Amino acid sequence: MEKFYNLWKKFGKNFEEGGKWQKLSSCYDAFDTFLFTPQTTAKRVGAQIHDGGDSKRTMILVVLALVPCALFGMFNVGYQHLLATGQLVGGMTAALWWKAFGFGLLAVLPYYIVSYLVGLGIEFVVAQIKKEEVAEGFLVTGFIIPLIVPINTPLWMVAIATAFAVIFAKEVFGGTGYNIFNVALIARAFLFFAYPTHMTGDNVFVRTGSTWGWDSDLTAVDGFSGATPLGQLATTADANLMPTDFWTMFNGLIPGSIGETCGWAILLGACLLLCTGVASWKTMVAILGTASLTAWLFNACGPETAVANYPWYMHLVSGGLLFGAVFMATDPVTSARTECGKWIYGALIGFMVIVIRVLNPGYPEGMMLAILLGNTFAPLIDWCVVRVNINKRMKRA
Amino acid sequence: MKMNTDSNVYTIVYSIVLVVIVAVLLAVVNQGLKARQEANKLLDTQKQMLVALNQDIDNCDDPAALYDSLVKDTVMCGESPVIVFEVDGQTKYMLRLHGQGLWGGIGGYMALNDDRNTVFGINFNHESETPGLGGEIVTEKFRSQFFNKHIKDAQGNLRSIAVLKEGKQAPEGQEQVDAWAGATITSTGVSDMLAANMEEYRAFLMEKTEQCCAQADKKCCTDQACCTADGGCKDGPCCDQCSCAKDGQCCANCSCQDCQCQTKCKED
Amino acid sequence: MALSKKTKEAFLGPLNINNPVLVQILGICSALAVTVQLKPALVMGISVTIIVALSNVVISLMRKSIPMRIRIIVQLVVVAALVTIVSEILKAFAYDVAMQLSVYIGLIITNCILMGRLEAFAMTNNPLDSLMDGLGNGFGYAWILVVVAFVRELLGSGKLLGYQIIPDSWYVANGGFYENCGMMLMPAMALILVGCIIWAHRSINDKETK
Repeated sequence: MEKFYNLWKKFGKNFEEGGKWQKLSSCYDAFDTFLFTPQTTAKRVGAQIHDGGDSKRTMILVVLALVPCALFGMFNVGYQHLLATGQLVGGMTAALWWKAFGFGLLAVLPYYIVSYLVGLGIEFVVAQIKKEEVAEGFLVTGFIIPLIVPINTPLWMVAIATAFAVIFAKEVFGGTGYNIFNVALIARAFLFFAYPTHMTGDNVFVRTGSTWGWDSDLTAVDGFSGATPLGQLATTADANLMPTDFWTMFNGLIPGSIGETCGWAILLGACLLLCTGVASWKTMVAILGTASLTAWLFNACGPETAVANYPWYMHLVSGGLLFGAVFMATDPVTSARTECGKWIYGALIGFMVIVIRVLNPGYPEGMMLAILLGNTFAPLIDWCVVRVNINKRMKRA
Repeated sequence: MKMNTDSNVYTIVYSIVLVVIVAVLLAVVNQGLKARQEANKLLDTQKQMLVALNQDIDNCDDPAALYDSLVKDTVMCGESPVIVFEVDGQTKYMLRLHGQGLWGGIGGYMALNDDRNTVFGINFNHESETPGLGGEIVTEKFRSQFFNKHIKDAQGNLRSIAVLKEGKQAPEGQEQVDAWAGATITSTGVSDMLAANMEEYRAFLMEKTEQCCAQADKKCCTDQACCTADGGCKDGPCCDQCSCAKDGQCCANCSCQDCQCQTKCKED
Repeated sequence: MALSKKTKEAFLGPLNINNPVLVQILGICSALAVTVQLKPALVMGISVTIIVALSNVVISLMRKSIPMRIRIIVQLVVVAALVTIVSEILKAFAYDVAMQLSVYIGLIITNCILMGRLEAFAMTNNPLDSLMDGLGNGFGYAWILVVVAFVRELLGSGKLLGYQIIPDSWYVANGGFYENCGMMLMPAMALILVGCIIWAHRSINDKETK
């Protein structure tokens, strides 16, 4: 390791002031801080020393927390495919298990490649133009984007959405740390509004066709429906429909966006994030609590539709609510910063997600829009909390 | 003479003169162009009906003449007109549709076959729907979904046609077409419009009689006939729909005219 | 007859440096609403140009006699009358276009560009300059509309002026891979497009002035 480190540092001299490749210094810097802990510390002020903790390390933690969801998602894609093409009629075998995982891996990998290529590409270009460091915020965003799209989304659409999100939701505002809206959600929202037929409905969440030529001669069996539970609720006239039970939903072997379905994987990630202090438990609890309360209210006195009668604990495990609450609403840049504000922010999101699901037939899954709305109000919430605090202290003085 | 443009008198006189001039100008323009506008409007209506009859408007030199050659008669169903056409030797009935879209009114014409059930053609128009979204209901793509659909179910009940988002299912027996992606409220407006207008034309569509009641409890269409609850006309003396004098009870032998008993109750 | 420098500037200014939409940020609402397709955008651009130019001339001719206290009302009355006349003429001679633009023609009265130019220019300048200013602002507004509508119709419906540009065979429904970008049909995207044009406009103009 020592030798490699020394070689790397020697190589780095070319990128400093006056060096041959000084223009590409931010590229070198990006890889440098990725691979090695920076040797700098903050200035010594009084008795404190602050280590040069680059935010890249925090990002790595979030990515690690997302890995269970990604792995499960890959398996689920394969599993749904096998289910749809009737290959599971005889029961699950070890061979089929591996086939499911392999199929899913091959199906999901292109999405990761596209997401990172496009996003990082744009970030690198912008960094060169602005003569700044390449910010590493896209590490997390790029990992999340494939997890929140349906598996049958054409790759070029994901590319366009990623480009749109990185340029208009991030760079225009000033880059990492300056964005108001969660970048991954903007990509999802763009896909939703630009290509609605590919984002909702019965055909997008399960890959019945082939992947890289594998299983190219199979088609879906009769009677197959790729509708998600929330999708079924939104289109049914039966006011008491229960598409499936709680544990099926929590275990996650259902159609849905790639990474959103498994409660266990999300819980694992949540534990990691909470223990390392990266995400705030207040936001998560506020969202889940308010969502439950609102859902219960609609159960008690809402319209007589299937969605309104859907029990509160089912709402929690349906759609992207858990995933959004743990990974997306807690994004430190776009959520509220003050501790009290986080409760209010979480409450707003929890309330809105149920309201959108129940009252708007056009959006069966409301988490994406609810979080974006929360992002919009976060600065205002913080401002109000601070003001109230200042007023209180002025009264005391 | 330099007038003081800020004096009260000047301001008032100026306003009056300005308003009078503008009013006269607008009135003149309106009157002068009115005839042309009316003609345009009539031609537009006729063209819409021709489109609903699947005639090729774009290659037609004289739509007005074509219209005149196809139209046969107009039958009133209550206050709603049914225009009778003859296309290729077959009778077609044209119903007028009107309803509410997202931003303003929507309307159209629906042409039914002789069986008063199958849709031969349909045309939509709107006042102010969003171009590219709700405004697309006028396109061939949207309209052609309705061709050969039925407004009645297998048992002969009047069901209308539902316009639903792709993936949604209409109730058993009712036929449906796909809504336009991104134009939810306009599409719902079309669906509601069809349902409401089918109700309006119910008696005509259900063929109870040549002349039909507009609304069951309001008026009778012919002498000695009364309206039934679903808008049809029933021949013969009707007591259940007439109001008769004795204790609010209908007498067995009263006859109806305008839903009033013409003969006082006689003790049987 | 050589036009004075002032007159020339009155015409050329709004086309670029003093563009009503990009620089003065006026007339945004209709720029978002009518640009879903190219044809209504063209008609709107031409209508606004005609009305702004005409009303500029009329108000400029009247400017010395208008009482100061009611000048805004007088301007409104003149503009309303002109717009109504244009609308009536359209209904008489170009019925299908009039039906397409029905709401928006009436909204020209509320277009900020109109009132802005009348107050800022026509009230204090001679008719010829006012005419040029009106035409300049109208064309300045019109070309923005055309650009935005071009992008929106092409990417949002695959057509231009109603003619299919993107081949039918490319579409998913016909076995291909392409889909129209539904976001382009939404006003939100139009606003982003206008923002991009402002971005480009400022970069180019700033480079020149440096």
